[in-house]
Amino acid sequence: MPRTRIFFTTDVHGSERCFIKFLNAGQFYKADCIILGGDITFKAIVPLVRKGDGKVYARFLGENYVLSSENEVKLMEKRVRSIGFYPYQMSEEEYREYLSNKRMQDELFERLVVEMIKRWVSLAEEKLRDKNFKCFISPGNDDSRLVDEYLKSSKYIIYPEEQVVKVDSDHEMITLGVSNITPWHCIRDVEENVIEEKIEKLVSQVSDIKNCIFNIHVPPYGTPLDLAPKLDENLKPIALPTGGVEMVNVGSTSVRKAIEKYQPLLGLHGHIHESRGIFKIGRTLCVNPGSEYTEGILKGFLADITEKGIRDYLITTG
Amino acid sequence: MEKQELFVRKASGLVRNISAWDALIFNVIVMGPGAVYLYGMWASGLFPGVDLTLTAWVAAPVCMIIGLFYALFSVIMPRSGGDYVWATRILHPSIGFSMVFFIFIVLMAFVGMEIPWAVQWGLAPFLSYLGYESLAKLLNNNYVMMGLGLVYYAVCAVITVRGARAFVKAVWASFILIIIGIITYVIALLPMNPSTFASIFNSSTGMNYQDVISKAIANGHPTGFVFSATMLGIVYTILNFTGFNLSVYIAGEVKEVRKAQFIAIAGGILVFTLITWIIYVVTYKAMGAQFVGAISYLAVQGSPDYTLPFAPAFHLLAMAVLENKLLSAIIVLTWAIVPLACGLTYIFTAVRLIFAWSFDRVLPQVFSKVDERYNSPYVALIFITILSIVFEALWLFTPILSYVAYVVTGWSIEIAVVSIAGAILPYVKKDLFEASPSIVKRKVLGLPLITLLGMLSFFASVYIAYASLTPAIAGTLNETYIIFTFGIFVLGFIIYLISSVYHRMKGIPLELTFKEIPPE
Repeated sequence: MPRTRIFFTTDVHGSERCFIKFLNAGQFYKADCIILGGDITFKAIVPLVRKGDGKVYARFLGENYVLSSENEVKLMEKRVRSIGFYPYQMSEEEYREYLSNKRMQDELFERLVVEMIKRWVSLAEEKLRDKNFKCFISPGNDDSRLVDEYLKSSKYIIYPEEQVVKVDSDHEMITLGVSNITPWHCIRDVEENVIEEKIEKLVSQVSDIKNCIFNIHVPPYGTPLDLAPKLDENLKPIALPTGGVEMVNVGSTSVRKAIEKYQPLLGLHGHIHESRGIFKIGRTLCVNPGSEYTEGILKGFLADITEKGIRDYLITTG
Repeated sequence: MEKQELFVRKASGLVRNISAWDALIFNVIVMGPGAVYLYGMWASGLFPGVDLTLTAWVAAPVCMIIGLFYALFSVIMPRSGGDYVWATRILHPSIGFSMVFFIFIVLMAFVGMEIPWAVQWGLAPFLSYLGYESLAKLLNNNYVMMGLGLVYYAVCAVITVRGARAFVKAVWASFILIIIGIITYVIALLPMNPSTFASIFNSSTGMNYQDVISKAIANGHPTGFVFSATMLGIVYTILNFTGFNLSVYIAGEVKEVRKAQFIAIAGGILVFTLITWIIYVVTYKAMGAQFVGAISYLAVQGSPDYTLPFAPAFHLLAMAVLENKLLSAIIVLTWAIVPLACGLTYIFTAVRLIFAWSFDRVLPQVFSKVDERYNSPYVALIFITILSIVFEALWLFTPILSYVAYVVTGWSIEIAVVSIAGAILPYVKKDLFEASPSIVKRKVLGLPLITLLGMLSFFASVYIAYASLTPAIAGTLNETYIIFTFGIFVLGFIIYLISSVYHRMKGIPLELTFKEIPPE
């Protein structure tokens, strides 16, 4: 019986090291299809400040660096990118301006997100040329809407967001990058009823729901895949007197309802980095491979699927 | 240099559940404070002339070298499940698995001993001391201990199923009670000196303080401290320190893991060294070092001159001479919490190991099933609870668990292998090394710090292995015990091999679990 090997990963958050690993995963795991399930862009910019003495000053992971040569600067940029931050060279005056002006910082983020996604699309073009596996990349709730058009423009990346796509002749996949409302009110946070409507619309176009894959960024509510710390009004975790923090389920009730109702083959999720796990809802195997992009480690899910179901799977730490 | 700031945008975050201080307490509990009373007695009995106070300060730097090595390794691979993943990634998955399988069996062997220990070294002698001889005998009955074990394992299961939060609460509560017991021991014995101790000992125990010393000397016990005995006697102190690095196995649940592992491991070793040293100093000051060595020697030798109804563990000797029954009760009953708390931490760790192996597909998928209410791996927990009962039965009704006497040897071998992995890391995983924080890449004597610490850790663990075999914890070197110890590693290797062949036939090779995808 023919089998299709899929590799799924998510939440690389700007880690170029993780993204390159993702592009290499098809060949490495002998996969027929690789899927990156959202939250691809970075969360922080590391200023590389060029001062009057010609040297570049940086503070990275709690340490101060003074970079004297262009080579050192390049190495630092690579290090910064590898763990999901974005390096940006600026003068001391620019640094002070950005620091004091939030609107300018936001504009810088938008500009650099575009720079990053262009860079990544071109990396993908280079790496995926002549490869005979499919590569799906979709945005997540943290990603700027600017990334979509660049993903769509690629010859080698398939942009599956809010579409039904064919993984192979027996399996279709629906993809949704939005999330229910988070405390951060991210770009693609929406109300539960919107998620429900979007899923219903996609499911209505699926021809064989039992062999369908739900590639939905936010995990189903009330599972081990959606546990996150409860936050106070300042977005700080609520510490317990015993030293831990209070954990709560933060997934989507609409996603759970849809999985319970339609019982697809697989649920591929992310969003909550610390809730790496596997959970069965009825016949559906739901997976959140978690994320350790800050360590440059690519957490993933590798599965062999056939017309009859899932033949074998592995949670990977690549 | 002025502190430059990051520019951060609004995005979802990531937080862990166990703090550095929780992890420190976890490590201290795993080491078993209070078990110092027992290990001190055994070291004194088996290595005549040992200076216990010195063993604490010799063991501490040896463990600290290994501990710093582990903490530094955590900086490189902070989230990946400890030495299991380190050895897996750098050496081979079968090596990583067989090593941690050894640790798993040792943990389970100790879990099986916890109730018998709590009874034999705590509850029963205390009841005996109060005059309830028949009740003490009843408790000492193997079937009664099995019954108590069922209750204890059920309580551990209830705590574990409720997740890390409930576990942390239980660990903190146990730690506070154990520390209260140790402080009580110190305060109660501090005003005593050997002559006041001797007079109460003579009047309350039926033995004679001076006779104990003279009979031990007549039987070959030295009259002063012996350096070689001290250097070998550190094995017992190190045995007591075993587990100081166990927080690496729960790294996935530790907050700010890079800093936290340094605090938890190095801090845990320091706290435990202080506890050990204070107990030994106070014991020597109150009872006299010569007497402590002599009475332990007579007891361990099985001398007919030793007539106390219980072994001369330090807390029991204190109980025997303290006139205030409340103080005795606090010392002995809080001591009984030590094995129970240790058992809980071992069960918690063992459940997570079973879950992790299932998650990694080495064990069947069923073991990674999680319940919806508490998100606990309930199948793994049920399995561990049943296994705990089996191991308790093995301890009570068969001699097989005495074969884990060479646990220190096996543990040192495991650390030696991990040390090799760490030492060669900069050369075989250049990319990973280059991406590490600067502390890892710092060079000392021309070598990367991780290589240097790996080498030191290797030599430290080889020394511990040597000391544990010479002249052997169990008295004489027993080949069967050694084969048994190595057999556990081999069994782990075979389990991995079977699983690997099965998955290869089914489709996805198991070796891909931790294999790093090329990052270029």
